[in-house]
Amino acid sequence: MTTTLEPLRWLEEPAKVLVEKNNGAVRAYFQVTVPRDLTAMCRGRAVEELPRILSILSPSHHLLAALVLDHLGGVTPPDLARNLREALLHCQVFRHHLRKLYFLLSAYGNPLAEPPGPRGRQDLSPVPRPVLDEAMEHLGLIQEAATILGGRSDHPLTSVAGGVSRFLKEGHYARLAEIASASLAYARRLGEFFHNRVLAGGRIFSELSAVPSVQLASLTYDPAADLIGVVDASGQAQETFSPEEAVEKLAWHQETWTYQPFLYLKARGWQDLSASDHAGCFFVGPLARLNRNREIATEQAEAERQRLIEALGQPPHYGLAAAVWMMLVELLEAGESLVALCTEENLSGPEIRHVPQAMGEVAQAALEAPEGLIFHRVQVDGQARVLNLTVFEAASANNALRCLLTQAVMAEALTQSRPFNSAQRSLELGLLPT
Amino acid sequence: MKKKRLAIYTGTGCKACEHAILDLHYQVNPLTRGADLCFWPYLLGSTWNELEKAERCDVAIYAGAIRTAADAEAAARLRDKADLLVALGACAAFGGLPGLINLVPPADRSESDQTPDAEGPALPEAREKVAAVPSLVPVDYIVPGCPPPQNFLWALLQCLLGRPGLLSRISFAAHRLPEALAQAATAGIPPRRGAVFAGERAVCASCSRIKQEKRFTTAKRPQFLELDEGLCLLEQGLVCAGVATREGCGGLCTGVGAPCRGCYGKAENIIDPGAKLVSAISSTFDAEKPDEVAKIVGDMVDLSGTFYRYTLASQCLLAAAPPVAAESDSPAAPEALAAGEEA
Amino acid sequence: MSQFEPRIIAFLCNWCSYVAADAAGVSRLTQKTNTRTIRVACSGMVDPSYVLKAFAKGADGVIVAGCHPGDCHYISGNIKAMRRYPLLKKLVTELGVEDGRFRLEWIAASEPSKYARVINEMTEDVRRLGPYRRPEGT
Repeated sequence: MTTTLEPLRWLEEPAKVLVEKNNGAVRAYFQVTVPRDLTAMCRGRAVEELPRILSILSPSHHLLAALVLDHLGGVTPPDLARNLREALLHCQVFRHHLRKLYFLLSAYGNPLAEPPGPRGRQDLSPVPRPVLDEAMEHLGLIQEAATILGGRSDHPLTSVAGGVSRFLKEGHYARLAEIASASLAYARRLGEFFHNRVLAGGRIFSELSAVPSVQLASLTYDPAADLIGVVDASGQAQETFSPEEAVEKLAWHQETWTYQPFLYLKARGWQDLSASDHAGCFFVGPLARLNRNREIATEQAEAERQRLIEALGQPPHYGLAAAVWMMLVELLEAGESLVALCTEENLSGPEIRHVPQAMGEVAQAALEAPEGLIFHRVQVDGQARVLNLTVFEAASANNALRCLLTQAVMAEALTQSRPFNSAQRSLELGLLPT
Repeated sequence: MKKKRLAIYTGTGCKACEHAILDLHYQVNPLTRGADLCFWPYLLGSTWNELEKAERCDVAIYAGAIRTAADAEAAARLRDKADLLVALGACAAFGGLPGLINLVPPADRSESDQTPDAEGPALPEAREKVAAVPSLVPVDYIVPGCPPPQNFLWALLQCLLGRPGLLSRISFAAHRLPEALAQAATAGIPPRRGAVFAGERAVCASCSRIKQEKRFTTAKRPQFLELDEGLCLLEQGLVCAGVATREGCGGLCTGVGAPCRGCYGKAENIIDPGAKLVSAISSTFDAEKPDEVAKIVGDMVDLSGTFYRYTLASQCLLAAAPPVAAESDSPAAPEALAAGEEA
Repeated sequence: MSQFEPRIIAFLCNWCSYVAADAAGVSRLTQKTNTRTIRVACSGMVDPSYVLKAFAKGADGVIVAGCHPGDCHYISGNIKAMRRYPLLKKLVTELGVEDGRFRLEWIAASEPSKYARVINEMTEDVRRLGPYRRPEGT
């Protein structure tokens, strides 16, 4: 007997779940239903177009593609350009995490219900309407900051080979500083709301804690050392490797039942998803960053991370509550970083670009995006056209996690005799941080 | 006054268009004041079953291109259920970036070398060619852009949900729309069917850069150029598709030093955007002899992927599927569309 | 037996190549009958979209013929055609139009034999290439 569960709320890639029930056993498939045409689509394109083309994956891919162009052209951007790009990245972290948290909250309050008027019924939902409205308002604000820095909403333009494409305008500095400080203040308020109404216990916390979790190794990128780090499922740091080695260390696996390929650690081999051991699989994202257990540079975020450790224990953690908490930590970090960066001093300067003289043959770079580690490697011909492109993005890096989580949720639902729509809800919540 | 019923769906594409709609919502709930969101899988988890059983939709918004049989079927279902169907964003309107895969033979598209064992549940079949929504079903309105700017989304919703709102929200859009369309948006009434929510002239009309009629002797690549902040990009030697592209965005990209790449589709009186760009760009060549011209052209790369960046699937004369006629008989059955045939 | 008969659209300029074509006919020079001629005022007025449209509507080959550089009735119209040609050729090649289907030629009014030769050559070249097919599925 098979059941199809679709659509899955809040998921960027079109996907559905197929559940096969046979003699009390359950086999669940997480199927991405759209082909990943990326490499084929980019072959033959002029390499300088990649920051704009790849921004459809996520805005962070725009920044990464520009970084690759810097390497390909053998130039380092001037300080101003680095600051502008970094500020844009912090905006993307804030926006990404806030959107996920908004989706989480929308599971407990109806974002599209009629706003309660003076004669309206009292709002008794665990997440009152004003909370959702405020989240949406701040999503809009941070999007405004991202548009100022990136030139366009959602698919930024301004990062180019060697720097950025234009100086900010006079009025931008004040506005960015304003948005930065409002965002930080909001991150604190949202954190308090979560502490009081979500993490302190009660209905929401019970539901989040009940969502099954999957223990896997995790990968993160450290820009200061320019190294990708592997932490195994037990929390031990395993190895590090440079972006140059990434194509040797990571490989693809393809199944027939999903268009999305899987990324895995080549040295450990691919294990079938139905097996009990998944040493080759890994995941990326906020939980991966929590599990590398490193001090955060900004004060309030680090304090919040310590609060997390005090409440939940030392990493590694794999539960949904920990993931949500880590997103709150990173929301603070992004807010604090923006406040520090968005000053006229940091965002103005004499130069926006160092112009390269020629393009090399091959270059690669990695970036820790809000959704997780991302990586590009590009090979070009004599006319700087793309010969070959390798992209590791969060969707393929987390594909194994999503599949295993789907299996775990559906299997548990069967043992507890829960209906499918309840299992689907648990899965949607569990997929939010991935 | 009864709220209009609105459906929102994305085929193959990123979620930027839906996020753009979500972003509208932050302005004190005007979206929900104006509409009854009867079908929104991304945010609300609405299923096709629910749509089937419910009463008709007034407006359905389809974002994303048609890449798989599932996308095609979704387009047919929404066309069937909704009075007005809107193709939102460059992917739905023209095929968008996914359309570039049409340049690649199917055998060369796969990313992994491994041939998987044929086992496990089936997937919706990938079509051989990406198509724009109007190539499969008649579409009532097109909102171009990648993603469409907020002002145009407001104008669209204001027209179709029938609730005239603040002029300030749509003044940017109204200024760049053809007069009849701007008036409809301001008054909150649907414009003539087939309207494109964009201007008719080329982007050059809105671009703030200065045109000087310069010529050049070599083709340039942007990464090697120190760009002049005020001058026309075409006249600095770059390929800028603005001359062939509909205006409306206000020159967003050129305003920040990035050449236009045509996400608004071809301007009104242009037959083929690539042809227009050949004409415009070759007229800037400062060359009298064939070998001089050949040298300049030799340095230009990826013409098809640049001239037709968002429009290959629908507006390239040599590669596009034509739109389904609005007055045709009922659209093809969903199964036929899913198999890749056209109406 | 049916041999493939290519359909070739020939844009001929009023002052030179059209006159040559006419003279070739009057002189009864042997010519293949595969061309459909379109008389234009100048080769420079052949917009690239006409060429694309011709292929899109079923032409197997397209030729644009104008006056020799220096002889244009409008001084530099043919130079405009000359400037457009390499870029247009590169674009259609990228889109799958094989070499030999699209040509730019200079044919003076006094060169009817050149006109006949070019037409005959091109017809056979295109015959060898076969019918022009737009990519399948479009």
